[in-house]
Amino acid sequence: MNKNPPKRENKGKGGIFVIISFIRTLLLYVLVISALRIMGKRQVGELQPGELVVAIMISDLGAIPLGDTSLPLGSGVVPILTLIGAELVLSIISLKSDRVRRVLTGTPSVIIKNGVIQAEEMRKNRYNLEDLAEGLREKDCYDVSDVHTAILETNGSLSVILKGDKRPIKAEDINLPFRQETLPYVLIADGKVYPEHLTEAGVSRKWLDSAIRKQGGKRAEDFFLLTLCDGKVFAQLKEDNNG
Amino acid sequence: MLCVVAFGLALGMSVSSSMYVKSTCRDVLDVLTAEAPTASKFDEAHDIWDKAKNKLMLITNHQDIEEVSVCLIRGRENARMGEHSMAQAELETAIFLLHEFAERERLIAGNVV
Repeated sequence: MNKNPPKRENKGKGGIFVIISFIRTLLLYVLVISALRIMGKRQVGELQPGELVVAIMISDLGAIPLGDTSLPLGSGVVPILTLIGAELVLSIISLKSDRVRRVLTGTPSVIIKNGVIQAEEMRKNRYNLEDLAEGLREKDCYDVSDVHTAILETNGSLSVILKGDKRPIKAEDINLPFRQETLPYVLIADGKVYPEHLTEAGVSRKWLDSAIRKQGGKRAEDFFLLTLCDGKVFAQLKEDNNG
Repeated sequence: MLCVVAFGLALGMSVSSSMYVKSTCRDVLDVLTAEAPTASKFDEAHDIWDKAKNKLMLITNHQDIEEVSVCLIRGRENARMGEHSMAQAELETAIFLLHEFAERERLIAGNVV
């Protein structure tokens, strides 16, 4: 037996494990967020089936090295990068080719045509009457007899065109003169001025300062929100600045 | 452009890590298979493996890396103690583990599926 075993130094590495987990979690979080960001601006509820699958897979792949720190980060990073690349390639091809797009995302289906429910089309899409009623309610339509056309989109949402006598009145229907509304410009948000919005709105910093005084504030930091829309100013002071 | 970057990064990381693992395993195997199992041979092999460890930890499972390290250390100590049969057993185990390591990086149906 060896009477002189080698000295082993305790280098005090016990707490490092948690820090490693912390750093890996941050890195993977940034990667997953970037991946989902690259995929595009659609909300989760409007993703195509393929996009939804990729989003779920990316999240799951990111979790693999998180759960086991003996696995290298690459075991999550490489598959995520591959999925991003594949998704981007398919998106570009879908953009150029109708045929590929139809194969990947399918085609919309007309569920109600000229006021008549297309039972065959519903059966093909495994879409039952409860689903139809729910889809119509989500579009603020509570009576199926008001609907002229309803289209089941490829992402599962329902687009509805009401019958002429059931739809809301438009200004042109009654020859009502109207003014085109524009988007409001957020000039101050949470005390911070947005100079680029001032430029887009065509107003100067001097004009803003005078608007601030008219709205009862002393400086931009006093405001929670200040917007300009069609010449009208909306302003809300921060709670501690309210009278 | 983004898809090229993403694919390029993924492929680049995969190929370079695969090549590095194979070359490291080859270097260690060259030392282990050269002569009879002596303590100095295990030491040399362990040095090569230890130097490559930090990079290997970026690429592959840490437990697999430690298994090879443990095997080499046990072989060295057995050889030092004069336990030649045990040292031989550890040598064969180390050679097997290193072959498996390299085999895992091969692009074959068994690894893909």
